[in-house]
Amino acid sequence: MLRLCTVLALLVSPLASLRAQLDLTSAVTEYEAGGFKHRQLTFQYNQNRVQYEPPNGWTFRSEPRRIELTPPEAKFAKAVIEATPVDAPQAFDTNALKERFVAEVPPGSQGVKVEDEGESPVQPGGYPSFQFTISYQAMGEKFLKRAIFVNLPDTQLVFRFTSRKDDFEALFVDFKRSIMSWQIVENKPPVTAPPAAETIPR
Amino acid sequence: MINAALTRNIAFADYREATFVRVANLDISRLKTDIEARKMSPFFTGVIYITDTSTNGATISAPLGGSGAAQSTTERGIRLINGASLPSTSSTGTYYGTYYVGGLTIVSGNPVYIRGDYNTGGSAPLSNATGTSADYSKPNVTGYTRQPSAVMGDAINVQSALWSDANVLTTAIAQRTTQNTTINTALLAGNVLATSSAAYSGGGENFIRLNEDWSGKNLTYYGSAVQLFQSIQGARTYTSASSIFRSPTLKWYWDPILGKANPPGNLKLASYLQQQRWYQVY
Repeated sequence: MLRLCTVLALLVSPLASLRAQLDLTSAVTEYEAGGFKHRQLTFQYNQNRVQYEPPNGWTFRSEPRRIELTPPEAKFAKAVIEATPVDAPQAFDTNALKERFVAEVPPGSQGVKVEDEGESPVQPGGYPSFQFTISYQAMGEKFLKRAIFVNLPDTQLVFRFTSRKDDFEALFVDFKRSIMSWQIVENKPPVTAPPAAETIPR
Repeated sequence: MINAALTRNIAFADYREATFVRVANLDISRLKTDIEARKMSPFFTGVIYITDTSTNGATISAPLGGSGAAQSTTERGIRLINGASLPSTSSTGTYYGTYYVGGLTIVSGNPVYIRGDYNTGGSAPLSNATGTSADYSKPNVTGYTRQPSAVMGDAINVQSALWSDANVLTTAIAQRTTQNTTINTALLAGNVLATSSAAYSGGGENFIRLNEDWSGKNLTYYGSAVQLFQSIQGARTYTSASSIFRSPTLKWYWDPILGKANPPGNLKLASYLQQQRWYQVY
């Protein structure tokens, strides 16, 4: 009996974990401003919602743990947002993060160099964040890749952007503006009217 | 005198630029007091040239709001505060002979931020009123004479009087609230060209750059806005995304006082027109 319970608990546990925390599967709404149509994505985050506005004109594809965004008219440019559940609030192990990030360059890349690292001025949801930028050469082109790591209490969020060096600054500003739009919104319970006076039992 | 009106090394968020900006505050009310008390040089003409001469683009650190956490930035700016009343000669009669005739011209190589009402005489001109009390033909308070004024910079931004320097880059737009605001000055600044088919420079209606939720509020402008160049420092492209700003109702007018008195300085624009031959290209 104990064994059966353990098996059930193991089966249920990942499902519960998936249901809780941050789910990047998006509900999309549109609004118009200044003659442009903008999209706003809404994610479930525990009992709350996250609202996020992708850069205008970029295409995106979302999965429960990942969103890929691609800018128009730019080759070899891509942004990825990843959410990894963690059991407990994490501190930044910057050396481990840097090692992991540097290892993400395409195989065969040359001249891999960490250009900068430090606390990021963008702190989605008010949570601390840490940023790395690396440069490398691949396919005869110079690339820059930047990652912003954000530690939510139960999730590590990573915002990554890669493009050719010449395109990087302008495109990253678009992506950075979108990260700035990341807002955790409380799901308030519906307001229920107090029972009418005459229905209160005496 | 100028130093007393200056507060240096203040950082605040600029959402369009997607970064913090390091600014120096220029307190126009302090400047007005000193100018009207005749503390300026006898050669003062009413033009203030003010620019952060540290290298724009180089990383620098400044405390948020002047006293908060240090923020790194590569961008500079000049902010005009307490500018509701500009210096005038009305209280002192003729001032410094022929040099100073009232009003104020501010010129900067940096983006300029104007905080709150400017050249209105107070915060409650009828142009700032709501409902049937609103009168957009009265952009200054009773008893105040609008002074000839110009503000020139790399870019022109307006912050409402409710702007908080404590805002960080992720402060929600709903928390960046505003109030009806009136700006009475000629403006000369740059813009940023659209960079792709999906982009837009913002056009004349966004010549004044905003970073707050202005929805449901009026931005009354009396002046003459001139764009002569491309912005070099405030060079991020326009976006109408509502996380950056929400548009006010624009009540924009040419100011007839500019037809009677020039802003201080010897402003001259040269233009050249040559008739060319028209021909068809097949």
